[in-house]
Amino acid sequence: MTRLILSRLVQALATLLVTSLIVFVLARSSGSPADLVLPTDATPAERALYIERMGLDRPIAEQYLIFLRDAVQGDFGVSIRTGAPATELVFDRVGRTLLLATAGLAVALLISLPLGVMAAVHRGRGWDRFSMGFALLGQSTPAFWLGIVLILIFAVWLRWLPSSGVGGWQHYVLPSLVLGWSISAGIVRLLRSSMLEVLDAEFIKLARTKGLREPVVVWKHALRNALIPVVTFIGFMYGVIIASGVVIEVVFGWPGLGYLAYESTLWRDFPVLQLSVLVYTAIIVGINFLVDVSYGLIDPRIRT
Amino acid sequence: MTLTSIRRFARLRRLPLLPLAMVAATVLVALFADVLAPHDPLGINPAARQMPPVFAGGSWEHPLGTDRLGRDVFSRIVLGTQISLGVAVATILLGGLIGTVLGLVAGYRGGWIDALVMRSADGFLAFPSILLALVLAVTVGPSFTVVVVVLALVLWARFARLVRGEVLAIKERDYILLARVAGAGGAYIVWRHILPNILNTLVVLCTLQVGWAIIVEASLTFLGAGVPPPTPTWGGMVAEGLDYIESAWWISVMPGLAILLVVFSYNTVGDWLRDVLDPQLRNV
Repeated sequence: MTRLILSRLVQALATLLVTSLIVFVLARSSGSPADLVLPTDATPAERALYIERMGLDRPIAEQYLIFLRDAVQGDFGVSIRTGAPATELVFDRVGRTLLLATAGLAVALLISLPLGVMAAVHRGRGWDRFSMGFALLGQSTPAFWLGIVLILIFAVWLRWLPSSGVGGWQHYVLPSLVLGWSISAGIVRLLRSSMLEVLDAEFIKLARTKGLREPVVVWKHALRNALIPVVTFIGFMYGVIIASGVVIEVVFGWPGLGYLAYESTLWRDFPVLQLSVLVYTAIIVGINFLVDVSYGLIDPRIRT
Repeated sequence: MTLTSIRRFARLRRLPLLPLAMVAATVLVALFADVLAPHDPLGINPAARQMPPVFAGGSWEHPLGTDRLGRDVFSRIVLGTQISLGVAVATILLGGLIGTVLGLVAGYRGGWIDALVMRSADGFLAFPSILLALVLAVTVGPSFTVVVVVLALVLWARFARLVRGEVLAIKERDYILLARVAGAGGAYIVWRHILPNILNTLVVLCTLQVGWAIIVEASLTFLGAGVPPPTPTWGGMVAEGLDYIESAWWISVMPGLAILLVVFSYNTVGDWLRDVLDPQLRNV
């Protein structure tokens, strides 16, 4: 078990390093990073100072080591727009992004668990058609557009819900609905096929023969086993889930990490964008690490 | 063949007529966009700003209304088809080619090549492409090429995983073993005996990825990390209309509806192709 944790930990750190290297190389591929990192009205003296401090006149490998040294000490530069340390801006936003992702995931499960199970149980009939139609529609809807349509209906026309920002629970309704909708399609399809497989298994026949009521067989015995690939899928897709949050945060003016990344793209605020991407990667890598290790705990066969 | 007999044929084959027609229409519209657009998609007309669509009190002059600069929304959607389909086709060609080659090699050779390819594929699939696109937009600037490269970076992994799985199943068959006994080389076997057997799977996967590529491209453009203005793009149009949602909702809603309809058609056709060509293939 210790070996599993260690090897996964090394893998996680390696992923982070590779990401930082890619971002680092990209920053240097477009000319001098001084143009990216310094404000446009920086004086030649400031430029010279920056080039000296970051070692921009030295070999690129050495520059990367300087970047890493600063990063380990928590120094990711200052925002071009506000002048505040990038770390301060970014860590202010992480919590809200995670809250939205969690709310979206909850909505997705509320939608997709009943639909996936009913589709498998009533295979080929009304419920199945409805669920598969829903999944197809869900996969075909651009999330940002759905957000705008919901704002139009519920905020502009009906005036029931706020169109943007944070505040009470009302602010969560539309963004988490859109995020949940966009994740659901994949889960419904996966859960349906996994339920179909499980419902054919011997232990389900046994449960029925024992005289268990059908709802207990389906919702307890079958669903619990059919959920395993779904959990894997969610763990694996978590990065994609929080990344689809970027677009949704922009539509709803949700002050999270995604909105910050978007703003820093508009302002060409490279230090903030760089740290946002690294924090996103760290979250994804961290979640995948937890998923891997918890599998090791649940299923001893994986502990190699 | 009369229309009735086409319909009967379609029902027997469970042929999705309407989506197939939509798919054909998008290709034609993309090819002949310049002829089909009734107005200049870039033509600014201050006298006709924010005109509503014809079903909301507007005129047939601008059937889907005009945007804040008086540009015709319908013409811009027609021109936007070129970018959406262009990105999708270029992405699938690039990502599909790389992914298929790597998948064939990984599946046939096995060993450390297999492990390396599959590990990287997992990594690329889990990494959110939107973030990479944002970084590229700031460092090298947003462009058609950037979008295609970003999408292909994810897509090759999907192709590689699927192709590798198929190769693993095929390479143990008797005819492959016989070919090897007869002295055929690896490259010959893969090209002559394995590739033809996975062509159907590849066709299905390509079709199913068109919709995905269109949606991600639109999302990137919406964020300003895609094809930059003034080129008319569906995602860019939705973004432009966001600030005018209270006064002129159609600027955002109409191009989004175009994305929904087109992607829905491609996905329906893809699902149908999968059932016809490759019934075992699920969850792609």
